[in-house]
Amino acid sequence: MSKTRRLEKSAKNLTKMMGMYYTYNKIQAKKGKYVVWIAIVVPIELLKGFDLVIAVPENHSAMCAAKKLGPTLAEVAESKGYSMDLCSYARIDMGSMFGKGKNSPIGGLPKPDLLISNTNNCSLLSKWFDVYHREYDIPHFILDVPFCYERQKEKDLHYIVNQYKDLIYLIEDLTDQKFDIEKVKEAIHQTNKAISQWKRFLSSAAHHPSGISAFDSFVHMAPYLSSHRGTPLIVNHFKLLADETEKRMEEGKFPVPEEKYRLLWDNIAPWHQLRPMSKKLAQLNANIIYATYTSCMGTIEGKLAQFPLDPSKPLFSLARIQNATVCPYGLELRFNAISKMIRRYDIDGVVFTSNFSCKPYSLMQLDLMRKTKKKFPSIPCVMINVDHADVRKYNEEQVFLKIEALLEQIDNSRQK
Amino acid sequence: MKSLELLSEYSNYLEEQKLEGKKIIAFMSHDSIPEELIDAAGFIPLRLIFAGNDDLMNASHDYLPPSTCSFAQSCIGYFARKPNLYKFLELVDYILLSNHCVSDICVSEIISDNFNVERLNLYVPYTRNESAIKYYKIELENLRKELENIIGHEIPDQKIKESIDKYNLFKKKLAEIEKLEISGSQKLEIFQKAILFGPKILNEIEKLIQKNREITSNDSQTESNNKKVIFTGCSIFLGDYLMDLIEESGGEIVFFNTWIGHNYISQIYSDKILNSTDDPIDLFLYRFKTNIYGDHSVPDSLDNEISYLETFINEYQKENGEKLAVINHVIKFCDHFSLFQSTLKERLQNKGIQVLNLERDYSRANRGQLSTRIEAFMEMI
Repeated sequence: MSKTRRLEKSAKNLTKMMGMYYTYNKIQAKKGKYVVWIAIVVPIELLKGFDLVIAVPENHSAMCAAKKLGPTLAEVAESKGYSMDLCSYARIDMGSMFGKGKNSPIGGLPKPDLLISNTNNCSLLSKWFDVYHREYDIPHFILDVPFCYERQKEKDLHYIVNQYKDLIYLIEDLTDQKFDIEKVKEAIHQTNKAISQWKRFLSSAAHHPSGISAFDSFVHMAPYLSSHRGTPLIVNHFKLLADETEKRMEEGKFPVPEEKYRLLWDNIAPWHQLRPMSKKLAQLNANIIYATYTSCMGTIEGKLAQFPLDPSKPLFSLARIQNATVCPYGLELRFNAISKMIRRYDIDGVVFTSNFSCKPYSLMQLDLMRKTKKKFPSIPCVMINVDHADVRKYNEEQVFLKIEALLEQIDNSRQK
Repeated sequence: MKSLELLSEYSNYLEEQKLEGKKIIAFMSHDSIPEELIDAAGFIPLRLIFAGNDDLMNASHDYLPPSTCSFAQSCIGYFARKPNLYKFLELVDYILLSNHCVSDICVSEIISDNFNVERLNLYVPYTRNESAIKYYKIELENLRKELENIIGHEIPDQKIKESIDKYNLFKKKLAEIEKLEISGSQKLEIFQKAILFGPKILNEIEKLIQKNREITSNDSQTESNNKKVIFTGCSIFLGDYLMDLIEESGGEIVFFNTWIGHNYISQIYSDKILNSTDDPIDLFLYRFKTNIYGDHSVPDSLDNEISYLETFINEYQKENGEKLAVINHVIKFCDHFSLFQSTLKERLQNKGIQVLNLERDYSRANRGQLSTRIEAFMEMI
C-alpha cells in the first residue's frame, strides 16, 4: 500500500499547506512585504515577532529534488563554475537563483531583502548564503552557534541570545517594524503543541509492525521547516497526522504489514528516492521505521524526548534549542541518541547513510557505526552512499545490494 | 628532497623538546589559533601542515568518507599510518579542536577519539561583530585556564606578551622574505619551515636574508622568462608536488596569498598597538577583529580578498611593468574555497586578470592532468 493512500488526509493537507506557503510567499513578496531567506536551523519562531515573508532555500532544494529537478538546476550552478562536489542543496538553489526561477516547480523563491544563515549544522551554509549576499547585494546575518559536545554551556547560551538581540535590532532597523515579543511567545506555544503531536506520531514506530515509516516523517516534516512553524496550522497538521496514523493502526493498516526487518536511518533523506526506496524496501518486508534526522526536531543534545520551550523566556528557550542538531559535533551525543532509538524502537539493523552532500552528518559516521556495532553486537549495521538531492550520485543497485546484505545479516543474527 | 630533510630536522627537534619535558599541542592550521599563548604556557604548537598522497588518503577511509577534504583525509592518514618521517606524531599530547570548517572539527575529534590524544576546544566565531568578539575573548580565557590547569600554575600576562613580541618580530622578518629575489619554491620552503619551527629559526632567517642581499647586490640582475603568478586559495602543504609542477611549467610564484604565506605573515602588530595594552588577550582580540581576509570569516572575506589581489596586481604592474596572473588552488572537497572559486575568477577576469582555478586532490594519478592544465595556463599568459 502506498503511503499517500494510507495517510490520505494528511497527505492532502500537506499538499494544501505547502502550496499555500509557496503561493502566499510569492503574493506577499509581490505586494512588497520584506523577504527573508533563512537557513533551516534559524528559529522561525523568533522571526514571528515581525511581519515577514520567510523562505528557506534548503527546503526549496529538497522539494526540487523530490520533483526530480535536482540535476537540471544543479547543472546551472555547475556551469557557472560551482563544483559538483559542493552540497547539492546549495547547487540546486543557486541554480534556481541564477536561472531566475526557471525549472523550479514554484518558479524559484521570491527575491530576498535579508539573509540569515547559521553555523551549527554546517560551515558551508554561511558561505553559500554569501553567494546570495554578493549576488543581491543585501545584508547577511550569521547566527554563530558554538560547539555542541555536551549540555549547552552558559557562555554559549548567552552568546546566542545576544545574537538574537542583534538580529532583532537589525530587522527593526531594516524594516521599520517594531518587534513584538508577544507574537514570539505565541509562536513558541504553538511549536510546543506541534512538537508534542509530532512526537506522538513518531512514537507509532514502537508498534510491531511499525505504524509509520521514516519516509512518512521525511515527507511530513516539511511544514515545520516553513513559516507554518509556530502557527496553529502546523499543530493541526501534526495532530491530523498522528490521529490518522493511529486510526490506520487500529484498522490494521501498516506501511509494511508483513514487517520482518525494522531499520534505523542515520542521515538526511534521499529526496529523489522516497517512493522507489520505500516501495522496494516494502517488497523485502523491510521498513525504515525511524530516522535520526526527523527525531531531532524539537529535542536537544541527542535526546529523544521533546524539549519544552518556555514561552516566558522566549529568547533563552530558542537559544537552548540550538543545541538540537544531531550533527556535526559530539560523537557521544549522537551515539547516545542512536542507542536509545535502537532500544526503544526494537531496531533490527542500522542504515548509516554516507551523504556526499552533507559532510557534517557523514564525517563521523564510521566511528558512530563502530561504536554501535561494539555496543550492540547483534544489531548489524551497513554504510550506504547517497546524495540527498543529486540523483546523479545515487546508485540504486549498489545501495540495495548492501541493504539486502544487511537483511541477510539480520536473518543470520536471529538464527544464532 | 628538501621536505624530507625538513621533516627529519623537525622530528629531531620535537624529540629533543620532549626529552626536556615539553608537551606538544597539535592543531589544523587556522588563523585565529593563539600560538603565542600555547608557546607562553611552555607547550610546542604543532601546526598540521602536511600534504597527502594516495596511501594516506586511502588509510583515512577507515575513519572518513571519501567525500572529505583531501587535506583532512591526509591528516587522519598520518595519524593512522605514522609513516617513518612522521613518527613525531606519536609525541603529540593534545589536539586543539577548533572550527575552521566542518572537516577541521570532525577530524580533530576523530584524532582525539581514535589515536589517544587528549582534546582541547577553542571555538572561533565566524563573524566579527561585538558579540563575536566578546565570545572569542571568553574562549581565549578558557583556553588559558585549561593550559594553566595542565601546567599547574598561572601563565603570567608578561610571559604571553613576551611571546607575542617574539612571534611579531619573527613575522616581520618573514615579511622581508616575501620581498627577496628568490624563487617561489625557496620562499615556500622558508614559510613552511617557519610555520613548523616558529621563532626558534629567527637567526637562520636573518642570516638567509643577509646572504641573499649580498648576492643580489653583487650580481647583475638577470631577466627571467618565467611567467609570474600569484598563488591564492588553499595553501601548499609540506611534501606537495604542486610547486614543482608550477615551476616545471615555467611559472614563478612571486606572492603566496595563502595561509602558509602572506596571510600568516601579515598578522603583524605595530608598536603602537603592542604598547596600547597590558592585557595580552586584547592583542589576540585585535588580531581577530582586523583579520578580514581569512576564509573563516563571513560575510565579505572574499570581497576583501579580491580587492586586495586587485590592488596588489596593479601595484606590481606599476613597479615592475608586468601583469600578474592568478592560480587559485582548491583542495578537493574544501567547501570554503570551492564556493569562492567561481566569483573570484569571474571578478578578476572582468578586470583583465587571468585566473586558473585548480581544484585537485593529492592523488599521484592526477599529476599528468594537473601538469597539462598548468602548462596550458602558462602558455596562455
